[in-house]
Amino acid sequence: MKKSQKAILFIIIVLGIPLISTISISAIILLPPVPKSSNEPITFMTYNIHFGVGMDDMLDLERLTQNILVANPDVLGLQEVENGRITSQGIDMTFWLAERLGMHYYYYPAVNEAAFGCALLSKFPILSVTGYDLTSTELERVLVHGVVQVNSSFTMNVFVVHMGLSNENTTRQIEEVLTITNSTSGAKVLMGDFNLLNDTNQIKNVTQLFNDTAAKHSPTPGATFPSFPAPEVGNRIDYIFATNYINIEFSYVITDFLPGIHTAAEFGSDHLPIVARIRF
Amino acid sequence: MIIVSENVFFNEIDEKVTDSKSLGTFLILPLILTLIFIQALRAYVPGIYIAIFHVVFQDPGWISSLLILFTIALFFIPCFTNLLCKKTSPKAVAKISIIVMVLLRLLMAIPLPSLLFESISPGFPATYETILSALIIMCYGMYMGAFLGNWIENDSKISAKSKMNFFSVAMIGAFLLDAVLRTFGLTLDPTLLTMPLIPSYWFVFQYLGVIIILPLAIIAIFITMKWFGAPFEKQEVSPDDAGSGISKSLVIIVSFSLAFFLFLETNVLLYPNAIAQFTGTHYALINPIMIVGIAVSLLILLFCSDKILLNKGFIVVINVLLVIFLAQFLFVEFLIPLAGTLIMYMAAIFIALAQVFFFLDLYLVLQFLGRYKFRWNRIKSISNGIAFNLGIMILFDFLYDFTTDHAFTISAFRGLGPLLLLVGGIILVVLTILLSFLIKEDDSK
Repeated sequence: MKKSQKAILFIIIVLGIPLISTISISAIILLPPVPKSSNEPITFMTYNIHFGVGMDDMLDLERLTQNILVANPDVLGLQEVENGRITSQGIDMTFWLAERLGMHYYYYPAVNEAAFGCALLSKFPILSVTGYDLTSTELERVLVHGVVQVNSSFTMNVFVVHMGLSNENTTRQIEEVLTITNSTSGAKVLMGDFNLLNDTNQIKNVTQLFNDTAAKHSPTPGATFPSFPAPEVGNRIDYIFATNYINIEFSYVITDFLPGIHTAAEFGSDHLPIVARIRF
Repeated sequence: MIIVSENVFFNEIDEKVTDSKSLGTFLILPLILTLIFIQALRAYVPGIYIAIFHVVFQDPGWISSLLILFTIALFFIPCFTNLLCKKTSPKAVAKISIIVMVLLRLLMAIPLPSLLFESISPGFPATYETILSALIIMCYGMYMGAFLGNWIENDSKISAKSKMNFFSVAMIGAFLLDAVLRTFGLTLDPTLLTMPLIPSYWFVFQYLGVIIILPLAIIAIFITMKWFGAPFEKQEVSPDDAGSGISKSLVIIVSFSLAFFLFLETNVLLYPNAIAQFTGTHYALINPIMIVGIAVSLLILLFCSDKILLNKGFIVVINVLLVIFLAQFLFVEFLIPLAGTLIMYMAAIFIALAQVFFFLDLYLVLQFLGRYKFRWNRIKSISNGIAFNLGIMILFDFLYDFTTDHAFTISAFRGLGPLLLLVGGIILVVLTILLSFLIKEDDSK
């Protein structure tokens, strides 16, 4: 083979093969998920995914997916989501989970380096979405507001939030969140990791405008943190609040992903997810 | 019709390295080992990150996390490579490092069912993976010292300049292969899959890592056992001999250059999704552009003459452009608060072009490492350079982490992430330009 022919072959291998395979994958990625439209009740889930790391310290997005698929939600709010960080193997978690679950998605990071973000995933098309930075003296916190089109005649506002840790921060952040939610009308769901117990003043401010779906459905909703070893003695700090709905079919904390087995490896995160099925 | 001009590296491969033994030893084996090194680094940092969290917050079992932190000490074991080479031989050290590295990587690729190891400790699989990664990184440093150091001094059929060209091509080839693998994993590295909760249809996918790593491991071990002898046939310079140069401290400069290259690559540039996130562009459009950038770097090394690549004017120009592109990428949101989509895409495309400049800088640093005469012998210079490089990189990774997750403990660091990356880029550029003025043509054997 002549040198020039070898050179051409080399260029084809080095440049052509990666480019063709990458463009093919990109074409698949750019295909939108199969759109869903429904008149049925909608299943919501909120889950703090702890950077994809479970209680066995292993980063495992497929395990998280299987945790999520226990309830197979239509609309999913995630917290502590990362993208492209070396500390989580550089994965774009929202994108990967959305492709895996066949959902539309939006991610808003808490810091520019794509850490501690919130994500909204939905089987229904997301018409518009905005990310808000909440005032914080500690690690930055964010709120995601998405308008989700459930069917041709019904859209709803979905808010996903991750609150701070100190009393000072959460008080101010709750005010900001409620200002934003109050600027919208119609059916609304506010969900996320509030880092607040249900008897705090901040949560009481929220329940003046929204209903706590888990408390509405059960007098003793379970704890959501920590997931292991004993969630029953933990705290309920994750919530799904809703307003302008017809009824709540169920709302509960998912505590068991492998019936009959209780082990750290079962849990994809240090939090437990809450699921609520609501008819609007 | 492509006309391959005279003084390019492609000719060197075509004319001097025609047998499969040489191609395997000088190109394929370093490529596979560098790929394994990149994957090990990717697996290692999350383990350390989680361990730090457990120690800082004194979670139950934080003592075992403290033990994980001690694995950082393994990065300095390559400093003993020359001593081991004296006690045994460079060939033995290189071969054993390769085989240990490959076998450990194979072990890592087999998903460990966490459920089975509950009785040892819930965090055992993570600890196990982190320790294996650290050992792989350690072995890579020893391999580079023992193999490269010995090859440069003792094989006169190929010039030192060309030997470092081989290694540079192999390293960039590894980055390219890694980028393609992660494209197929949709930003996840498919060779680092872990056991899911319920092995349903995912049962096959979780072994994808083994399916990818196993043939590479077989090829690496075959080349090592059958073809690895050539660079060690003549021993004109032994590990007992001192170097013929006057400076040790320039090894530190090389270490810093490599460290900042790895720091920038692993924290931003290796991940098109991170670029897409920073600039608000779409991953599906940025990823092919980034991959083309890496491939073009490789082709430039193969088909451009050294007279251009090591020309001081050329190096200054590309490094100035590199700093400009890096700065506009890191601060595009701040410089133009309402930056439109077009400007965001321009920022993303420029940083993809900057990848080419980064790899050309890597090439120059490796050329310097291979050609400059240090006071230490070549094995010691290279292995010490790699060890210091890893230590400095991990230090800056910790600092970068303090600008994000731990900024609430040290508030002075808050928001300084982009600035730290830019400072790293400027240091890399300054050191690279400095090294370019120190390389002389007659350093090459």
